[in-house]
Amino acid sequence: MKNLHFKQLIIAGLVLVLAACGSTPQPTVALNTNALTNKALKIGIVYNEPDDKATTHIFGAGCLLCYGVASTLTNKLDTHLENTIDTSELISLKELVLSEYSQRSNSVEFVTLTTPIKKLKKFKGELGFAKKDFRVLKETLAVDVIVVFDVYRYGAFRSFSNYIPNGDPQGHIAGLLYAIDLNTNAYIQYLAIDEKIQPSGEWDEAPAFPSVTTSYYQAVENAKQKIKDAI
Amino acid sequence: MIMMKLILIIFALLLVGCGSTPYRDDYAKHVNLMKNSYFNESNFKFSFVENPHVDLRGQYSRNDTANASPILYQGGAGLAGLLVQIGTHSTMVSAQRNEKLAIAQEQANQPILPLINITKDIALVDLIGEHKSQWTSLETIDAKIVRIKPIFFSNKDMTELSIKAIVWLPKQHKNSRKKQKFNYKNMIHIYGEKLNKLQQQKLIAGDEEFLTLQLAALLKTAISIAKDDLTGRYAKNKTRTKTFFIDNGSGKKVIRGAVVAEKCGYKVIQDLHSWFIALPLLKTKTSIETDAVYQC
Repeated sequence: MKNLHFKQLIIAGLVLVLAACGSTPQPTVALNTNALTNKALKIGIVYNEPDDKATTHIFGAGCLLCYGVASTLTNKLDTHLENTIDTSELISLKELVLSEYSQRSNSVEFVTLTTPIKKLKKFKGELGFAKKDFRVLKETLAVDVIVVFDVYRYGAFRSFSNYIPNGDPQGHIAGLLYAIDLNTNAYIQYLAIDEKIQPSGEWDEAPAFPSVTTSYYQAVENAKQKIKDAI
Repeated sequence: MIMMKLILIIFALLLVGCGSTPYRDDYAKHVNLMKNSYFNESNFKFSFVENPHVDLRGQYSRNDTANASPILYQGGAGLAGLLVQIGTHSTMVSAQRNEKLAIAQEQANQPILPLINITKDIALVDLIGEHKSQWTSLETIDAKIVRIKPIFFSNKDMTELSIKAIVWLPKQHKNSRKKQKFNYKNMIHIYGEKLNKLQQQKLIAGDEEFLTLQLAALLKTAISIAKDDLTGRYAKNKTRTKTFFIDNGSGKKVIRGAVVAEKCGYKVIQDLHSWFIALPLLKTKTSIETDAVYQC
């Protein structure tokens, strides 16, 4: 009997863990223009640049050895991307977010957080609300709306099926743009950016990799267009 | 550890070959070993090889990424067995990628079949106008004659015509030990001006004369650009690399490169591949100061 209770406890624990893992991801939230009708609203923009330099992001290499092989295959491209793709295009994206939001408010500026987002308190809300409690920033930053532009991958993307590449490396940029009403902690906007552009023609032309490099710039332009359309 | 490194190297070598892009004939890797042996105006001669008639194709997406094909490798056969399994898997993926491209090309050709049928018997030499004096027939071709392979494209709406011309010059000494087979190889890609409604109707109605004029204008501009480069006109270009855009119907297509000339209503850009991309001047969204060659 004792043994049965223990098993039930383990199963209940597992169910709870898996339920949390399987939570519904936040869907896109189109910009709520009603929330920005007052041009006197103060908007603060936080820009989080990627931790790493431009590189090839590998997906689908499902084992350690597969990943090792995949990394070896993309080694030369990684070196090229690291050496030639700087953050200037990311900065132009960041400036674009500022200029687009400037059409919505007379007071838009970049702000710096004193506490990293991941260290903010959790917020228990439904879909449509941020998972961290941003409301505390209303006082500390003296803004009404916080916009977070987070770029977390740039360079190239290559899909693998274990050891085998499924396709060519593609120009890639991925990030997240969201805006939060600091009175309610609700999303005013939530937009995932995930651009993957197929190089036109042969990709494996070391050392300059012109096709992949061009497709990276295409990915950036597509991301710019997406941001313009969304704001 | 050494064993692990060895396995990684073997896998990598195996897969470098397996994972390469399928062959496409509308593509050229740039080679220029001309140094001081550029042509002058009078000795530039060219010929059309492979197909003396118009080759018109539908524009299609080049994304050949195959769907993921999860596979469980059997470990019982040892390392050799594993390599065979990976080789087989790789061949399957490669075949999928080639098939995807072939299907995409076939589907893209369907809407423009009437144009393909009109153009397939048009001789390229009938389109080159004033360049005919520089043209040489296939019978008299030698290593000093520039080879041109033009491929024309149309979008499915028949509003945009373009040309990709592969231009090359073989190495004169065939016994050269070096792998390089070319003295010069490059691609010229010209985007025609977008056709208006009336012009589009002419194409849909099968107006051969109008279509021939459009194709001739593209081919003559391609020959002119090839000649400019092979006579060394673009060799000293020092303009800054920038991003240019072209509206391809489904959005802005990016071209990274530097302007080398403005001629015949086109801005000629040398891109990161060193290809020459000619955009109609009205279509070019970015304008920069340039020491480009202005002529026609």
